[in-house]
Amino acid sequence: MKAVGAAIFHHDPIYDSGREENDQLAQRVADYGNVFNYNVCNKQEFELVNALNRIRPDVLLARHGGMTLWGAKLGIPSLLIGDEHYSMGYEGLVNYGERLLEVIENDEFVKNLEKHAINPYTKWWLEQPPYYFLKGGAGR
Amino acid sequence: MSRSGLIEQERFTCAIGALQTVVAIPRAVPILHSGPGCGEMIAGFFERSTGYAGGCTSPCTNFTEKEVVFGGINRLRDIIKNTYKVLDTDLQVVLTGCTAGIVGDDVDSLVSEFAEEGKPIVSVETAGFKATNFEAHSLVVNAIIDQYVSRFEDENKPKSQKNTVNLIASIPYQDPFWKGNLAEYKRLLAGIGLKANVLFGPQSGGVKEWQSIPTALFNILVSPWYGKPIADHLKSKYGQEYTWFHHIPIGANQTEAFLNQVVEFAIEQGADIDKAAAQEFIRHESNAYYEEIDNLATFLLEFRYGLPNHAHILHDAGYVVALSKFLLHEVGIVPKEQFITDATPEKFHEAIRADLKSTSDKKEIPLCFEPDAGKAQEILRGIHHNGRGLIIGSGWDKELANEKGYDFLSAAIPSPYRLVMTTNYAGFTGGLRVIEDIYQMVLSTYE
Repeated sequence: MKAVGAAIFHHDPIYDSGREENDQLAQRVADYGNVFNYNVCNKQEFELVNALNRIRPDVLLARHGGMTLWGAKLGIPSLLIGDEHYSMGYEGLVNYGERLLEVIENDEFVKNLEKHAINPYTKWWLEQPPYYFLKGGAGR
Repeated sequence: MSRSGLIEQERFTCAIGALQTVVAIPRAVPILHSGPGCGEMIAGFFERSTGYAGGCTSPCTNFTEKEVVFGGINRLRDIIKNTYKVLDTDLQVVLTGCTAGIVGDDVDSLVSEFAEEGKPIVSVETAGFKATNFEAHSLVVNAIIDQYVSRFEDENKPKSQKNTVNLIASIPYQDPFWKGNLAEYKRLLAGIGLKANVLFGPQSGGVKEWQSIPTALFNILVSPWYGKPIADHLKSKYGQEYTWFHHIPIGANQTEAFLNQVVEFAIEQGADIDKAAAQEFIRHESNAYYEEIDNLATFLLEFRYGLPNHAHILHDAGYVVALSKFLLHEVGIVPKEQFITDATPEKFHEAIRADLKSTSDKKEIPLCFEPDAGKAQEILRGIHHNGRGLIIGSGWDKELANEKGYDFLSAAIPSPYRLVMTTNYAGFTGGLRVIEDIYQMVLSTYE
């Protein structure tokens, strides 16, 4: 599976123990490649919705409660990884894979919800880039 | 489907069970020409089923050896005469049990003696071995139409009321949600501009409403198969066309489809429908429904401790198809092997399979028609799926759910585990109620 975007809640300004080896983001990029559409926002739903609406991934993986709602409303199969240790080890990987398959294959609920979802966001906002309100953000 | 001589775990009853159809008509009384056990058995099977003059109030000739040898007609004549003295009723329906059927009493002639005097009395042969109560329901309704309603045709000209319809839907008492369902259909149809004769229960107008049956412009049949003989009979007798919705509309998708189908048909038939207003009504109901689902979505997607991800349903064809469609698309619970336990006649099997198949073009939903529910349970016992499951059935299925570690929702009769009075499962609100009920059962398992 390929990551086509991310909405991260926080990015630490210093490395653990001050060691450069603990630059986990650099490690990830080196091992698995760049992650496009990498957004850091402090749980700002309006930015998340904007990004999701543009990117429309095949599946949304949430690591924090309350975030799957917008994937679902956009018809995107969404999974909350409640237990972060779920995917540990070989068996964990297989379990995780099966869970992902289940979420992706059983998409009827989100596809139906998409047709009827309530959307409070303005048309204008959804046309802006997600970082519009950030310092240095472009605007219309 | 097995038609063996023996079944376990009955979920329907014999033809005389249609006496409950009479009990559901306000101020009507069933008079039984049968052995003493029939009435007891029926009242016990249905529970909370006495109504106005049902249960122990219903007169019965208590067929014994004497009547078998010498005939029971005179006994029946006495019972009918005395019913007029003792009970205050608007309609009397004489039903025969197995013994009367075998012995060959000419009940029809006797009843016509009273009918000719102008008494509102009807005669139906409902010997138990003839049919199930699902089928006998139509026999009883058609008999009332032919022998009672037809007497009032002069003041009730066929198809004279443009916006009146007759609704043929839930079978009283056999469908545990019949009262609520009929009330909800009536409300929904009123919302799109139609006045529905629901014929049974407190939302109906008693015999006066039955008398007005011919005046409906067209009829609505909401059923996979039971009740169709009524729609067909009204079509041939009064020329009323009917629109057929093949399963119970549970939830938004199906209720919208149902109402839109009726709106189109009504307009075609020449009813006075304000299409824009009807669609506005439907939209309003749908929005209210989706507001709930919107709020519910996070719970369904994220509840940490596990929610059921698949379901097996053991019920009549109308509910099996309805709940399969509803659960998959509107709740996210995947329907797996399903069991129809209503002894569906063979000729309807194909259409029902096709209806169920139309639920999804990427998922197969295995379906078994099995009136012997003991057999159905055996099959289900041997089936295994990953994850937490849900069984929706009758009280018979609770133990099986426990065995499998599954959640259980009681939605069919008989069931000592649930009290249903006016709850509806049909409609938009019905769908929401199904969701509440399922998760009430699920959440109550958490400590």
